[in-house]
Amino acid sequence: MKIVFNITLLLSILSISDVTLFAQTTGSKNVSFALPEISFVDIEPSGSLSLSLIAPNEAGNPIVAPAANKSKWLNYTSAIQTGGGTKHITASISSKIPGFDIKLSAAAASGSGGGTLGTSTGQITLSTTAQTIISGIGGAYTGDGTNNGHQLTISIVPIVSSYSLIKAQSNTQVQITYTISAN
Amino acid sequence: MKYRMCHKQIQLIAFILLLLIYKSGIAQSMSVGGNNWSVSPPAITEAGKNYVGIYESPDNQILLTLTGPLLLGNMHVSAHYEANPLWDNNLKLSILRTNSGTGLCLLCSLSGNENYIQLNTTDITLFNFTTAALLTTVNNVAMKLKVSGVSVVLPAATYGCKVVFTISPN
Repeated sequence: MKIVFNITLLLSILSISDVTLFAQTTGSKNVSFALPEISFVDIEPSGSLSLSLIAPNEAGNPIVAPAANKSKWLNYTSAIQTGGGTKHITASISSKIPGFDIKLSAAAASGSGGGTLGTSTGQITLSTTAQTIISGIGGAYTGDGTNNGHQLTISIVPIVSSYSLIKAQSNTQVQITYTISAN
Repeated sequence: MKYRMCHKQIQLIAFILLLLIYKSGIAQSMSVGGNNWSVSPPAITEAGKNYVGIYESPDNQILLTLTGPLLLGNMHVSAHYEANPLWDNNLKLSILRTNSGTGLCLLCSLSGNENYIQLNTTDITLFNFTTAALLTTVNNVAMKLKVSGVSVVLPAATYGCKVVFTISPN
């Protein structure tokens, strides 16, 4: 009887042992989040700029172009898909002013940005057809506001060969449109 | 004869005790409760800006239940992460123990991980769990997660990983 009792006791303990031998010693939880593709561009500070041509004060002299305006900064944020191509920024104007060229150049990026910032094309003459001013933008951000991103230099220049097209006018507004796109 | 029977009983008792001692080294257990963490970085609404980049879960995102062995035990809880399915090495995941749990836990203690510990793909010890009573269970040991390195510089994608916890004897 004692032997039977002892064997029963042993089996009971072994049974408990089996349970504990297979007790769970690991477990897990998941972490997840999604980062979307992003394409944002804007000009800082907001508002218009003025380029006032200077009339000659001596007969025989041409109209004088004003100093280039460097008050605007181009900011952008870009996130690209895995394996996706780079992006570029174009600029175009709403209309041309007869007898004048409006020129634009973007400086190299500076400020508090990071990532794969774009490369400036250099100076272009703006037209109603969009032209690339910055290319090779990857996942990047320029920083927000003035002194961040690409400083723009915008100028208006009389076209000597089209001088006959120049007419007196006031407050002629030209809108410059900037667009960021995937290649 | 009586002596021989007693001797067998003593042998049996000794065997049982040995079995219990053996079991005491492997009988700790753990369950991982709480919730998966779905991080929601606020959308960027202004050109030039990046994500804030660092996000923290609620204090009790993950709740661990720890059970000690039959006999006295010194154990530790470790953790690592596994990409699930996509992770980026620039993303850093850290974990913090925000309390010592609840339940009847006489003469037992949890120590460590009261500051953030960065997780890797290999196990790293988070905290120690020491028990002085039989089959001690501590419930709801709260764990907080932090992810950093979230940036537009990373490719746009859905990122995920699995945080794996393990309890082991010291």
